[in-house]
Amino acid sequence: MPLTPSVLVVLLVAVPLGFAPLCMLLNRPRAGWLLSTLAAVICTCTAVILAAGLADGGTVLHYFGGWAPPWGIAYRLDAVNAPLCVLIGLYTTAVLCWGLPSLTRELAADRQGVFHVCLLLNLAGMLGVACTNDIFNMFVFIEITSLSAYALVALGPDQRSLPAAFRYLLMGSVAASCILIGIGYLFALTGTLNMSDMRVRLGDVQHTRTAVMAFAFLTVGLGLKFAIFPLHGWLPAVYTRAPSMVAALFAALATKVYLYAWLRISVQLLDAELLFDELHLQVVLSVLAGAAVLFGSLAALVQSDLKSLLAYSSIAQMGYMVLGFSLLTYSGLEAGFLYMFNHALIKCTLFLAAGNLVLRTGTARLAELAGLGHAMPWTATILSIAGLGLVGLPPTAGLVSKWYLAGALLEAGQWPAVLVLFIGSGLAALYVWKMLRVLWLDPPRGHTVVEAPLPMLLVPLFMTVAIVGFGLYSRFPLAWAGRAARALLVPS
Amino acid sequence: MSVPGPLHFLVLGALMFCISVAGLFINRKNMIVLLMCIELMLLSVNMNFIAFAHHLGDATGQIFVLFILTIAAAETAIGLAILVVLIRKRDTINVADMDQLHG
Repeated sequence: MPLTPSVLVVLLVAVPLGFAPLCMLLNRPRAGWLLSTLAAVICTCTAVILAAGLADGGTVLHYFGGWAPPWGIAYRLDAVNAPLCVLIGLYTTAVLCWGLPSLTRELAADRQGVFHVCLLLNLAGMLGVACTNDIFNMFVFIEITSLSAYALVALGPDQRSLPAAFRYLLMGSVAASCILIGIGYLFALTGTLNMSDMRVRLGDVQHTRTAVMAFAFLTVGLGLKFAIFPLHGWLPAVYTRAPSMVAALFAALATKVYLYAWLRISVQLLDAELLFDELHLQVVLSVLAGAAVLFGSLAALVQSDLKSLLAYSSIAQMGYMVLGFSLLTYSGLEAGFLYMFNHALIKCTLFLAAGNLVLRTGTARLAELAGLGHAMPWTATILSIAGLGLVGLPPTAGLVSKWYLAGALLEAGQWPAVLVLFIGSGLAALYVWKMLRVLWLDPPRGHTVVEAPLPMLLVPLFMTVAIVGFGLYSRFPLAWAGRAARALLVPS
Repeated sequence: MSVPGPLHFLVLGALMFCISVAGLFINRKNMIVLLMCIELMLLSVNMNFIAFAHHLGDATGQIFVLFILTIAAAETAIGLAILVVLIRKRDTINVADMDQLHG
């Protein structure tokens, strides 16, 4: 079979899905790691080829079993989700390349096989959510992602990983129910599940109460999954208690994929402007996003654990993204996508560096990490530069995304939101300073630790270079964000 | 007595949903009850799907119910597995204890 783009789209999901049972059968730690890295590399390459082909616009479609829409399941790749697939593949590869020593320390050898199975299923699920054009199929992939995520968190080294995973499971299941109700209403209204077909059929019935309720349920369900304040309850414990590799992966991808799903449904499937008016959602979302920024940043300030500090900061950063997306304008969406891209890079780097500290000291408690900047200078430097990115200081990519977000907010006349942006950045400066002060200025506690092994340094170091690189030369992420915003607003 | 129509089943579904949400919030004693509430919530969604499918005369909705049941079973399996390990380690299924461990 020739490898046409429409076959490559299927490969994207089929490769990790196929490698997962292989991992289970082999059940050897090293072989599992090799297999999952191989799968992640294949997915990344496939996604890069597809995204490069779509750079000038257009879409790639695949109809499963040759069933024409709206009967069969269709996959659809365009300027919005092709780059997202690249990011999913890339971060999974990066985290896998980084994580072997950390995994060996945190997990018993007999559990590593299962770990890689779950990781591959998670990868397949996220890519599926990104690719599919069938709304029920999207739900199934959301569940594949979530179920494997619960297991990944439960495998954490801490005794408190289990309650964290249980809490995540409860909140995730409630979210799944809400998403299902939304899908059920839309199905009852249109009698179709194909998202392109559904959009056409929804034309006349957009304003009915059923459609509005469906949208409300989908927003609450997906909002729980992407942890918008006040539905963020699961996030801090999960990021703190999961194995370091999983925390880094989730910080980079988990919430972003669900945010994408919500955007796809609200902007491209439904008439977002109409529904936003009906539910006053622009006001609701910007108030929630503003509250997320303030709450997340203030909560991060009082944390005594590095990972939970970063987790609360993630809640704040999700607020910025939602702030951009809630504008529904071209510049708002562009700023949101740019923020998504840069924040995934910055937060993943921070969690990888935090993983390095955990590998050497066995804990992420700030009090135990005092003065480690001198024993682990490279890791501490990475944390410092990525921390600058979190605040939004030059020359990092964080500045570019905040700059564009502020521009989009000003353009829409949202002065209070700009104020929140500045306050949030000030608070971010405080909690990043707290982290850096502990690492560099506090007296060492007499640890005899050495710098992390080379692969665990190279990956985050490379990403730090990217943070600075995209700060100085931001044309590439900007072009992607612009294309994605255009494709969302003017669906082909 | 009138024949039950789709509205009756939708109301039943909504009631089941409310019971499960109330259970999630009120219950502070037993983690297994939390899992049961989640299960009930998914069942109430199933009720909606079947009512819609019957009303529209389209079997697709009923096929989805099978998918949803499978997913619900997987969720419960993972939830129970976590509980079993938790009980082995902590010897408790009290929700309040879980909150103490949280964070």
